[in-house]
Amino acid sequence: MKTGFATPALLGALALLSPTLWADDAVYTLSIKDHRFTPAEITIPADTRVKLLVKNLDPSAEEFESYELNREKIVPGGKEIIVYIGPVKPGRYPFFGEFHQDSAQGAVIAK
Amino acid sequence: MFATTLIVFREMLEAALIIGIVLAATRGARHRGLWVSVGVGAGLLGALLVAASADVIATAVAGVGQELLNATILFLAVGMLGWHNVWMKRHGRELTAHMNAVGRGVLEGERPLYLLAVVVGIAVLREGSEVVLFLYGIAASTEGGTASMLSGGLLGLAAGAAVGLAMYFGLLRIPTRHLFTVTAWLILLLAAGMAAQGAGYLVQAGLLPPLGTALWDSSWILSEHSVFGQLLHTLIGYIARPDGIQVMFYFSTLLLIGGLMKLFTTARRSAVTSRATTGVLAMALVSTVLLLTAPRSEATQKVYSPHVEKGELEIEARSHIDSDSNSSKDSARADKYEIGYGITDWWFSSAFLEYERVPGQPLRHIATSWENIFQLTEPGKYWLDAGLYLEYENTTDHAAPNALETKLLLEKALGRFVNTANIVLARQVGGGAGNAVDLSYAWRTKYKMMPEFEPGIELYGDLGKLDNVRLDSAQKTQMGPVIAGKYNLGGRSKIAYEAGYLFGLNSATPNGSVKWLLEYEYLF
Repeated sequence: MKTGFATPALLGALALLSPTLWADDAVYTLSIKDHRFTPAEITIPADTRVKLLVKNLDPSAEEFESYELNREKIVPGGKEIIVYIGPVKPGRYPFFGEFHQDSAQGAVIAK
Repeated sequence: MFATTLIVFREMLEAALIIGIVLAATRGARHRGLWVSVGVGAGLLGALLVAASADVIATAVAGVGQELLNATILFLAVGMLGWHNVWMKRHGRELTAHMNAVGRGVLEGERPLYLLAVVVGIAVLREGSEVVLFLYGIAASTEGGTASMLSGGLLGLAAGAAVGLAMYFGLLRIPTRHLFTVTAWLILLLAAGMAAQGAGYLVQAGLLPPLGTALWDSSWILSEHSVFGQLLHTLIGYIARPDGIQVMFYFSTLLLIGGLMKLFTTARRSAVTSRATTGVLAMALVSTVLLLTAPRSEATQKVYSPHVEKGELEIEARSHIDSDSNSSKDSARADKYEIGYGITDWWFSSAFLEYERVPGQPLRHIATSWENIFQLTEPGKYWLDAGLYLEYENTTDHAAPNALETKLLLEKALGRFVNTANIVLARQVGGGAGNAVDLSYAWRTKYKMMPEFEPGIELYGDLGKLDNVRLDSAQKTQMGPVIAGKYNLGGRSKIAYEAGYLFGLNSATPNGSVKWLLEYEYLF
């Protein structure tokens, strides 16, 4: 029944209209090469929403994932994606490439 | 090879559990095997399609195509699960009433199994597309051991399927008369979890505000890294560090679907549609107010009654806006959005988000709080009714101290006049906290004219510090008329409101404040 998602849909529509959500966010870039993140640690400001640009320079797909940041997104081979992060409190937030966990490890440092 | 097995297993887990639950929920239904197979088949096809077009999806809609796709199909699944549960509630009685095979057969034939087939399809699509991308990456790479990696993948698939089967056969051990109650609950929680996940994707895409990033962190108790954490993530939507909005979507979904299920069980079918619609509209209204607005000057003002009602669920939005000739005090605003439940007949607990707007600044989420009301005396048993209010306020600004608030709640009814007094003690706790305890009071006298309309007068004032009580012009004091009331929506739901205008009685207080409150109540 439509009621199951009528409210979320309505809220979603309302949120889309909210001008504050479309403010420009600072962009931070991460690359994936040979199933490793560069830089492995990336520093972002705390308490601010930032845009993380993840470039996959490998031909195979990777999944950018972080339990600490509550994020999960496929990065197709040779493509780049955007993930919004935060605002988070100061601290260290590890992330990893789910498809190559033994090498693809990194962290966001919020200061 | 083991790493591959583990990854495929993890991706498979969710789909396998959902299929297990769906199979159990459709026990005894005709053609369910066919519908579930169609769902799995379509899901696999969809998974291949999504994987093949991953490049296109990732770059679509300004780079947030993936999130939008995920959120859309998750909300679609939430809708299907909710519809199925409501259908079962509506027809459950008829199903048991028509014990003869023909009657049952006809009714079962109407059962919308396609809803669950869609849910199965969606689960397979979501998880399957990731498995396909992953395995394709391995197969395409020139690194050695491709064969062993692929067999590892197959092993992971098998392990995932085994968990699904275990779920199914475990559920089948439940006696038939309880089975559908259990599966209805499982489906309800599944739906709430999916709604929270969907909201998470919209936050990730920057389309919804998080309303508090990592509202709490329970990863030290149960990490989502662990298999058990993942099981709970799928089954009940466990998130170790949820955003505020995810919590909101979770409970809104529980409430919407749960409320509709209740309505369709308790009310008669003829009256049901209008009641359900009113209830849903009311909920949507309150939730909308909840999300749309935001902001606060200091505390929103409310006089608390010491009475607690067991099983009562409350969703409340309230606001307080100052007006003053001095622009430094004008248009300050405080809002609170609250969801609470009467856990026992003496304890009501709720969580709320506080927003504030300082004059000339945008509105801001400033705190997330936990509130508890303990009813100390049976209403009317003694000369005076008493209760205790305890609140812990966690400020979003981590540099600012948190706060603890205690209120003594007193109430005395004299005929149709109800007098309520709150004595309030507040202090800061945590880093940077001062030692002083702020003292203030609130008073209300209302006249119970009729449930829908109760006029009254409210008075609020500060009394300085506990060790230095003062009643001078530096203490904020406000007083004014208020009206309150409750409308019965039929069944167990009510809408309550409060509106008032408070005059500032001295220079420390804004000239005037408008206050209003809107609440949805549902008695379980």
